[in-house]
Amino acid sequence: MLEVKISELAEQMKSGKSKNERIQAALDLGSIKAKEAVDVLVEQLLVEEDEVVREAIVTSLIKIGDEYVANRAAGLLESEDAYVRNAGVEILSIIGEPAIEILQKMINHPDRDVRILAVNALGESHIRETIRYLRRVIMEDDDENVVASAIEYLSELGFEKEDKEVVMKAAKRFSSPFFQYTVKSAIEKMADL
Amino acid sequence: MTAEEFIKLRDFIYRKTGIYFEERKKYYVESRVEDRIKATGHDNFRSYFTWLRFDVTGKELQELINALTVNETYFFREYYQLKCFAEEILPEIVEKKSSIRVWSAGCSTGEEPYTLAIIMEEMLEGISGVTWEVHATDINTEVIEKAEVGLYSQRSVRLVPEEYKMRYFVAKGEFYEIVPEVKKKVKFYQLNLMDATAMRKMSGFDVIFCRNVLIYFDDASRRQVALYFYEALTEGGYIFLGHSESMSRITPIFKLRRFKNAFVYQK
Ligand SMILES: C[S@@+](CC[C@H](N)C(=O)[O-])C[C@H]1O[C@@H](n2cnc3c(N)ncnc32)[C@H](O)[C@@H]1O
Repeated sequence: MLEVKISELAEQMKSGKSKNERIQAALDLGSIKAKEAVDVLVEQLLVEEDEVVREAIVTSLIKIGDEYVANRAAGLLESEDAYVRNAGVEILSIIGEPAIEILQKMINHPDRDVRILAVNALGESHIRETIRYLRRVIMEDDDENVVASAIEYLSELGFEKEDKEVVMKAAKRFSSPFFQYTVKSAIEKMADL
Repeated sequence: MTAEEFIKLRDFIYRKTGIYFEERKKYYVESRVEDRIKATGHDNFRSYFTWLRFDVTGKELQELINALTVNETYFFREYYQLKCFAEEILPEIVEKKSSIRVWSAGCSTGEEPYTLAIIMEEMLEGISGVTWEVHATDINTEVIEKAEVGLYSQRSVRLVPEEYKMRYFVAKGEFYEIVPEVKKKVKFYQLNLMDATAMRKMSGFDVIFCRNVLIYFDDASRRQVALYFYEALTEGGYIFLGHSESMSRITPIFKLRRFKNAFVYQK
């Protein structure tokens, strides 16, 4: 029964008569908490060209917002399409708690561009563990761009003396002017800690 | 109310309304809920909450929503936005069509939709063949009832230009009553912005005002409402948010139009 409904809505989302009908179908899928609904939404997001339908899909994925969505959204970070990647970051950062586990994995992804996106998702989220993960990235990641993004976020989110110390220590890790500049501005922002 | 009880109640209200109470609002929620617990003859939160969850009539949920929403409003709020609506947007619409529909979504006690009706009456009076109406909705049934009565305090009308106060209000003791000609132009009804079925019945609006409403919502609900508004607007229709709110931060689907008097979002 549920499957029939999902496939009907999926069909309507793909090839509904009007744009409104397609938006509606995408939004309706968001009130079905089932893996199949998430799958059809994600698949459509990958090929969808209409901006508003895309937006409806992202909204629905955020609304379902469970661990399964988090896992599928993490996959979007590997996409070639900038819109899809950003949608992945947005979904992960907004859904919060259910995304923690997968984000923890993603900050160890072999591709550094994906790691940067994972750091962005963490930094934009309201997840409590963010600070701990950012510190870890700053101390352990061996790519300077990934570390630099983590430093930028930590300088905004960190409220403890340790946060500043982590950044200060990391200054020695890379010598490029870009990195040194990032560290310097972060420490300025954290002057009161 | 324990922390867990607060979270349970908060999530329940969130699912029903899109309104999200953060931890720091616990005290506010608690005092309003305590009033409801007393009013319904329960003696603790748990029994009240169970009863609320299983109340099929939905009456108590409505009462609770009425008690929890923030309804602060007044006539002619954010003058520059209204000036933009009156002097820039309305003339543009009138050039293209002869029947105009405006919606005040989250209208509270009616000050906003009546303000819009006064403006439309002023601007469109005497333009032959043009008809217009204002729809005004809110989730809170109590404010809708007050709006229909249309009786306002001095405080509420303090920003109404003197000339309009004389033309569109009748003094009643300490109060001001909106005149019947304006009253009959505004259709009030209860509507929850998160209710998909109800929202889909809303269509063909040229301008939507949804000011100081979405500030109480979380990200996901705001986006959802923005999409419903998109569906409800005519092609090229406009949407006004409160002055501190930004649609671009909610969703990229609307274009930002810069007018002389204000920035407005357009479909
Ligand atoms: C602060 S008032 C704004 C009144 C007016 N728009 C203004 O700007 O002066 C917010 C109103 O939004 C209403 N509201 C809150 N959540 C709502 C929902 N889910 N659906 C419809 N109205 C809602 C409240 O009941 C309240 O009357």
